[in-house]
Parts: sequence; structure tokens; C-alpha cells
Amino acid sequence: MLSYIFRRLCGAVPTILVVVTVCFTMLQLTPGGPFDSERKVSPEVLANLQAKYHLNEPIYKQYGYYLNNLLHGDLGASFRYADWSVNSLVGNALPISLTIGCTSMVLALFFGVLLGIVAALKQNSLVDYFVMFLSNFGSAVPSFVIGPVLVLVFCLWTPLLPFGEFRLTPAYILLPVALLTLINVSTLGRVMRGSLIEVLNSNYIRTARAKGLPLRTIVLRHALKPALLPIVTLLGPLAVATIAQAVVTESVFAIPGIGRLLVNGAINRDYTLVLGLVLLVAIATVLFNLIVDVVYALLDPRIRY
Amino acid sequence: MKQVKSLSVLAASVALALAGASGVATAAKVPAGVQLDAKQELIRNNGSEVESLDISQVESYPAISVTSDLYEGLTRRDNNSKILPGVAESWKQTSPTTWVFHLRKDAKWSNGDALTAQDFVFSWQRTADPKTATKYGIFFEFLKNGKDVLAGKKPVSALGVKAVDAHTLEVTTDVPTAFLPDLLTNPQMAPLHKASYEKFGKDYTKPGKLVSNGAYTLSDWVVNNRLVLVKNANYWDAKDTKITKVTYLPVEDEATELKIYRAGEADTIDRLPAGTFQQMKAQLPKEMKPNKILGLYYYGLNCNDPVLKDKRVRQALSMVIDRDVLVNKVMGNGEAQAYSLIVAGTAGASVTGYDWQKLPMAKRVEEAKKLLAAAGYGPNKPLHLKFSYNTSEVHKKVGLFVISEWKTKLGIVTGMENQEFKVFLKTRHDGNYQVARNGWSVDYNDANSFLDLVRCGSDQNDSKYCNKAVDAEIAKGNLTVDAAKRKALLTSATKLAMEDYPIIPLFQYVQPRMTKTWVGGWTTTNPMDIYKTQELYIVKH
Amino acid sequence: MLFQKAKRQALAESLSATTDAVIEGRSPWADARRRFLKNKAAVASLIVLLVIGILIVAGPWVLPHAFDDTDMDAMNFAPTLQGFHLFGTDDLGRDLLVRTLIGGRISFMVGILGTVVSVVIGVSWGAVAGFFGGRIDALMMRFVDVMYALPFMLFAILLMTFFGRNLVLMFVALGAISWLDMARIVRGQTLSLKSKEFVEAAHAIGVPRRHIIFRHIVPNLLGIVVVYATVTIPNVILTESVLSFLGMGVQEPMTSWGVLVDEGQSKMEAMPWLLLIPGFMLSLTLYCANYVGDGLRDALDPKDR
Repeated sequence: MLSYIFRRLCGAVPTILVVVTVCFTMLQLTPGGPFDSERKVSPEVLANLQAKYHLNEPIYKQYGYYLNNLLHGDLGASFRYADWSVNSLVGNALPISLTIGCTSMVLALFFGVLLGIVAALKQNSLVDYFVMFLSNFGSAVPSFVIGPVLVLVFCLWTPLLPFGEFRLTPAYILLPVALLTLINVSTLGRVMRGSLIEVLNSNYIRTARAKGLPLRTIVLRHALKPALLPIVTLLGPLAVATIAQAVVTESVFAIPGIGRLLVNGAINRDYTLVLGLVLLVAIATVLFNLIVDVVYALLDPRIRY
Repeated sequence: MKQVKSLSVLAASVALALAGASGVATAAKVPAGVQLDAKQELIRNNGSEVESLDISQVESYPAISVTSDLYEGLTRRDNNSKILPGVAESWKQTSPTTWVFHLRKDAKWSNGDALTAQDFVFSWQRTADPKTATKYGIFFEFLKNGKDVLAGKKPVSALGVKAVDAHTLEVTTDVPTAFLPDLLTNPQMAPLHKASYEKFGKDYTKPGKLVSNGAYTLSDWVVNNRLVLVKNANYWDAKDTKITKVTYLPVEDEATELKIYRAGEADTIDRLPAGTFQQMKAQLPKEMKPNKILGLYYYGLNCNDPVLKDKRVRQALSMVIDRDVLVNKVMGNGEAQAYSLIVAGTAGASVTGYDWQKLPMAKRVEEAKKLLAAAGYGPNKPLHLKFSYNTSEVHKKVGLFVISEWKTKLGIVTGMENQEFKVFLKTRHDGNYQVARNGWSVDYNDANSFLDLVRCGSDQNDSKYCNKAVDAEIAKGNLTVDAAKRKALLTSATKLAMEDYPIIPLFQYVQPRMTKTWVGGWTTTNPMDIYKTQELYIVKH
Repeated sequence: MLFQKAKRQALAESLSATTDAVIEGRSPWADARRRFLKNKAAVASLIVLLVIGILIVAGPWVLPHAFDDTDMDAMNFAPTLQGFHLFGTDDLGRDLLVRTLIGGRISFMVGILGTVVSVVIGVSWGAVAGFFGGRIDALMMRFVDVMYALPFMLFAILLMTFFGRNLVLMFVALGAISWLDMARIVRGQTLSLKSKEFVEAAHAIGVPRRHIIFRHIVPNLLGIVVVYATVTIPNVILTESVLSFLGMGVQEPMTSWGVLVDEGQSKMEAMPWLLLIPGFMLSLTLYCANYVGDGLRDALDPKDR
């Protein structure tokens, strides 16, 4: 198992490198640059600025500088937030995004699996339709509608929760976590329902039923584990998206997280910041997928590394 | 999106400047009978994260607001945009291009160090240095050799600033610059604490390291989350500074910002989501603080375009837009109709107008139709145009209105091209458009700032318009010392340019602000639109 | 009454099922249809979707207003009979009903075209990779890994800045970022189909490989592709709405549900109809699409047979 993990990590390095290169190229090709603003800067000033950030040098050299800094653990200086390094920007945003993202993932996993099981056991009944109605809410109503409505209801109409400068306390993260959970429950719930139906229709479960085992035992002992496999596959990308790309949630609740940093970086053509975040997301994707595969192996006895 | 803004004043006249003034305490003026709250703390939403607190990098409105609290220049502006003495107690224009500033003896840095004329020289030379690469070198271009220093053609020591002694600063300009005291209110022109800058380098703007000379000093800064300033006890006018702690929030989403305000966790906001002004005005009339600023919302017409090269077409396009409907029905925040490059309140030139602006609309349309027909367009050969703008509710709304005016009145078919902001800027700066949304608010209160939009080859001239006669008038005006004569020349330059219709002026901007009722000292007569916290106070509530 | 109807239906079903069995034997498609029809929510959803489809196609022809007609004397009308603005007007006096219907056309088009693009790319990519295997497979799937590791939002934003001006290119862009899952699934299925007898037979009689892939393998993937495509449609529609929230939606005066809902949410307190009407249509469509997707999945999933 350890050697498998090691091999996977080594194999990931070129993938991550390609991701960074692709992004670097895409950013270079995007029209507009970090110094374009309403007030056009004069050619002299532009020259000064480009010299300061090495933008006047050939692309391959800029790329070389970037990789070299990267090897030294330096993600460079941000263009948009001139006083901060990309390292410190990411360092500020990551704990917040991780806290909110992970909390909501745990909740979504619990509720998603629960709702999925209920719906699957009552397939095609009113209970099924109603449970799926609940669980699909997050994927049928855009999050940029749910979010503001939550704020209106819980912070303005009935001022139960504070709404202002973001702090990493339960009162402030309750609503964003709720919103992210709603979104993820809809994905997880549907997958859980589908895969459990599939498992329940399989021959060995039919056999178990024929033997007269109680439904409870069948589901918990025999059906749940295989039915969870597709959920596990899904968790990796879902967790990365929840942590790093919760743009809507972050802007609606004024959260200084990773997602908004990434979108603002792209809008401001903050090359170094975007690349740094892309690197972070790429590494997270690789790591999460690896964890998922390991969990998969633990769940599914047929898989051996 | 508005132009990057900066400060200045309504009447930055030589007379005021020559008069100078003595060090009158003018900070928070609390009217008699007003009881102050025990807790003098304020939360302002700033609309966006500051790009920097390094005064050589400051450019946006949010950053200028914060650095105006942290730093004080030779002069400063109150919340009515009036020029007051800052670090300089008094000043004199000794020749058309030479100014002498006398610094107050009690001026100190926040760490207690004495503030001297040399600190200004150091700051200005550093900012003008090409290696510093400031994006906003416009103020330095007025100083002697400023342009050459910024371009690296001359050493920084050639810059027109000299410390005569510890408390006397001599500033020389390239041309007579009557609005110099106005320019100097900007935080970009503030002094810099050399010792801390040299000790910490790029990190000198971080809490605990930043040494400032304004009414406030930096206490806490979590990027994208909050920026907290506390009262600077060493500020020369500290006794009149009431607010002890001000928190700037960087909330960008306008709807979120308004909700935070309503939840009571922000005391002031600078913007409102498009279309909510009337609703909020009905709900909270006392908290509305709309402020008319020296800014023009206009459409640029690309004078190099084969179709728009024809002045008659440009004139027809401008004539038929009903500014009254635009201002009252489409915008509705109290904007003023615009028919000139210059907006009301700008120093250095009068607002010009068009002969047709008072005519009834039917008549205007009739005449516009004739112009179009003369240019070869009519029902048989309708004019096709493309309008470019960047994504924003306001730009979209105005665009749709203007296009429907052209369509219904002149039968012009206009395609809309909505671009992402930076893509749009490139399109517009490169002149790859026909009609483009544009806006300008002045960097300093003088007509010169607006005239930059029509000067041949100016960086801000996105219309690519060029008329040598206009340029000659501007140049002549700027060399004229007599204020009245200068004003006449710049006004005539404006008139001349506007008769060529390089732009379609639409309206004068209004900033639809809101403040809680207990925030005292807030004004709605502040054309330069910077609100210094030191003049505010919290009423008991 | 209802009960009777249900009973009659059940009877009819069992009858048709028996006749199928007796006369033709059960083709897998008839089997799937039977299973799909058992899911009442899915059937009802399909009908609702058809009705919405008819409305958005025919509605704008029947109504007296054009979607881009501004009316300065009818701004911000609440739903009224005056001027026949049944669903009210927006801040430029444009009829909301017509705009909602036109927006629906765009949203449907975005969903369907985006999905078609993702199906075409995903199926070709997955089938080719799975069929050829070896190095080609490894390389192609490594590319998919790279795409997975790229932050989706960033990719979407950069594509929008490139193609923002063009509606069709936008669909393509949306499809181009949602084909990854499809490619993975198709590859997996192809791998198992490859060893089936009919493919080996085709090989043996010298059918060119291109033909084997697209004439013999791809048709056999149809079930899973259809299932997955129905899941993709609502996702693409929702993604379009998030892009609208970020200010990268459809070009005015054209509109989409995403754009309308985003505009509506910012004015939801003062002018709730601007949010409620397009929001209801969007959510109804997404709900229905999800139910239909689940129904099809339950009915068609090949592993289920």
C-alpha cells in the first residue's frame, strides 16, 4: 500500500506541472493585462511596471522564473494585492475555506446518504418523490438565490444571526455551511439513491431477501458498503470544489476564501495569484483522489494494491 | 466602473493658495448641543480590498480613502472638498512656477519622530523613480522634470522639489499650475517615513511596521477581511479627532454590502445595487447621502471609424438622446443631465452646451434625421452600429436605453457587445470599437483633467479625436497665469472640441451613499468625494 | 377517482407487460420503458418539460410584446393587465413574460447544445481511449486528469473572456468543460465491450478500427450515454446561471433564465416578481430534468439489467 501511494504521488508531479503550464499559457493568451485600468497608463509607466514584474522578458524566461521560484516554495508577488505575497494570501484564505468546506462536506455526506437510503428503500413512492424533492433543492434553485434569502430571513427579518465582517465563529459560518451543504446534499443524495437501488436489485441481495433476512440487516450489513462506492468516488472532486470553488457562497456571505480569490485573480489578470491557486487546487485534487482510492480499497475487498 | 479618482477642491484658486492660512484646528466640528457617544468607533464599507497601502502604488478609490486617513500631505481637503492647511501651515506662490511651503513645527510621525521637509523630498523622489513603477504618476507630471524623471530620462534629483530647511519646502512646476495646492492633498503626495521604509522594505505597510503622519495609524489588516485604523496620538490635530477606531470592510458584492449595512454591521456604504435607490430612499430617507461628484458618464465615439468619421453622424447620435428621461427614469439617483465635457463645479472652465439642447425633442429628431440623410443614411440605407460596454447593471441599462432612442427615433440598428472588464478596456484603449461606454472623474479639480479626454494623442483620448485648434487653445490656456483669461481659453477649447462631437456626454455622476443617522460630519456637498474619518463623529444613540 | 385511475394504469401496465412477454419477448428497450413509466414523478416531469418546451417555443409568437421592446412609461410594473403585462415589467419596461419565455429558449438551448458538445467530445474521447488502450489510453486519460485538476470556474471564466461575444461559442465552452465524466464512464464501458464476441468478430473479418469504434461500440454505449446526458443538461443550465451571477452571462438584449434570476435576486424585496417568475420556471425545469434523469437512470442503467 505504501509503495502504491508513493508511486501515485510521483506520477502526480508531471500532471501538476502540465496543469500549471496549461494555465500559464491560457493566462498569457487572455486579452487584457494586470495593468489595464480605466485610466490608461502611459507607455513609459507601462514599461516601468513591466520591467518591475519581468513582463518585458520573453515568455519562456518568465516561465522559467516562475518554476524556479516555485522550487523554492515561493509563489511570487501578487499583482492586485501589491503588498502581499501569494503565499500569504493563500495562507490567509485557506484555513477559512477548509473549515467551511470540510464542515459542510461532513454534513452533506451524512444527510445525502441518509436521504438517499430513504428514497431508495421507498423507490417510486410518494416518500421517494418527496425526499428527492428536498434533496434536489440545492441543485434546482441557484445558490445565489438561496444565499441572499437565507441572509434576509435569518439576519434581517429575524435577526438571529450576525451579518457583517466575517469571523471564523459558529454564528458566522452557520449560513454559508448550510448553503454549501444544501448544494452537496443534492448531488450526494441522488447518487446514493441510484446506487442503492442498483445494489438492492442485484442477485446477492435478492438472495438475502429470499432467505428472509430483515430489511434493516440487509441494508446495513450487505447493501450499504457497495452502495457507498460511487459516493466515495464522488467525494474527491466534490470536496475540492466545495473548498476551493465556492465563489457564490463566498461573495454572498463576504467570506475571504479561496474561491473568490481565484475568480478575482482571473478578473484582475493577477497571473501569479491565479497560478498559485491553480497549483493548490491541482495538488488538492491529486491528494483527495489518492485518499479516495485508498478508502475505496478499504471498502471494496476486491481491490488490492 | 468609474475612473480612478482622487481628491481636490471646488475653488483651488491662486487667491486661496496665496492667502495660505494659519494652523486652525478644523477637524471634527461638532455642532453645539450635540452629545457625543461614548464609543467613537466607525465601520465603513470600502467596496473592495485596497491594492496597496504604499502611497506610491495607491490608485483606486478604496485605497485613496484609507491612505487619506493614514497620511496627510502639505495640504488637505475637508469633507466639503475645501482646501485646508495640512502639514504645511502656509504657502506662497513666489513666481508662476515656484511655490514655497512652510511646514508646521509640531508635525510628527506616529512613532513620535519629527516630520521634516526632507521626508517629502524622499517620498516624491521615491515615487517618481522608474524603479518604483508607480501607476499613478499623473501628479508628478506637473512638477518640474516630472515627466522625464518618470520616464527615466533624468535622475530623481532633478525633480522639482527641494528642502530649503527642515520646515521649508520649495516646489517648482513645469507650467503655471494654479491648482497645485489641490494636487498636493492627494495621499500619493504625502511624505514617507524613511527609516521604517528602509528597515522593512516592501513590508513597511504592514501593521506594527507602518509609520504614518495622518490622523490615524494602522492597527490591523487581514487582507480581504478588514483593515482597522486607530487614532494617531501624535497627530498635530489629535485633540479634534473624535473617532478613535475605524474599520474598513472590503465587501465587493453590492447586495451583500447593503445587507451588512441593514444588519447594522457597517455604518456607511458608498454604493447601492442598481435599481434599489428609490426603494431605500422610501424606507430610510434620513440615511440617504447622495453626493454629486466631478465625474462625467459619456459614450466615446471612435473618430477613426469609417462610419463615425463623419461629424454629422456623430452629432445626430448625440442630439436624439433624451437626457431628461435618462436621468429621471433610467438612472433616478439624482444625476444631472450633461451636454458638455465639463461638469458643473469644475474649476478652470465653464460648462458649455449645445444650441439644440433646449429645443423640443421632435425638432431635434427632425434635424438629426436631416444630418443623417446628408451623410447618406436613411430608411433605405439604415445605419448599423456596434456598442461596446463592460458587464454591469448600470452600463447595460443605459446602453439599452440609448440604443432604443437611436432605434425608435432614427431607425439605427445597434448591436450590443458586452465584454469582460479587462477585455473591454483593451478594446477601448486600442480603438477597436465604434461606440463605447466611458466615464471620467477628475484627478484634481481643474478643467485640464477633463480636457485630457480630447487632447490629440492623450493616453485618455479613447475617441482618437484630434483637432490642432483645440490643442493650441489648451496649451495657451495652461501657460496663462491670469485665472480669468485661462478660464476663457479652456472654455473655448472645450466648446471647440464639443462642436466636433467626439463624445456623447450623458450625465454627471452621483454617488448614492448611505450612512447611519448617528454618523455626524458627513456631507453631501463633496465633489471630490473623499470622506476623511477625522472629520466624522458618532452622535449619542 | 385518482385511485381508480392508478389501478387501471397498473392493470394496463401488467397487461402490456404480459403481452410483451408472451408475444415478443422482452426487448431491453421495452423493459426500460416499462421501468421508466413506473416512476410517476419522472413521467409527470417529462410532461411538464414538454409543456414548458411548447410554451417557450410558441409563447413569444403569440404575445403582443417583443422581448427587447423598452417602454419608459411602463417601468417596474408589478404583474398587471394594464398594457397586457401579465407578469409585470423590468426596469426598462420590458415585458417579463416574453423575456422569461425567450430566456427559457436560451437556457434550453444552452443545456441541450452544451450537453451535445459534451457527449460528442466525451464519447469520442472515452471510446477511442478505451478501444486502443495502452499508451494512447494512458496519455488520453492523463489529459483528462489534467482537466480535472484545473479549477472549473477559472476555466469557465477564461473561456468566457475569449468567447464572451458569441452565444454559440459559449455553448461549446460550457460543453467543453463538462465532458470529463462522460469520457471516463465511456472509457470504462468500452474496455468491457472490447472483449465481447461481436467486436472480436468484426476484427476478424477486417472491419476498419474506426468503423468498429463508431459503428459497433458506440451504439452499445447508448444507454449509459443517454442517462448521463440527462444528468448533464440541468448541470449546464445551472452553470450558465452561475456565470450570469459572475457577470458573464448571455449578451443583452438577449437573456436567459440565469440572467433573469440574477437580476431578480438583487431586487427581490422591492420587486419580487422579477425573481419569482423566472426563478420558478428555472427551478421547475431543473427539478423536472433531475427527476427525468433519475427515472432514466433507474430504467436504463446497463448494470441494472
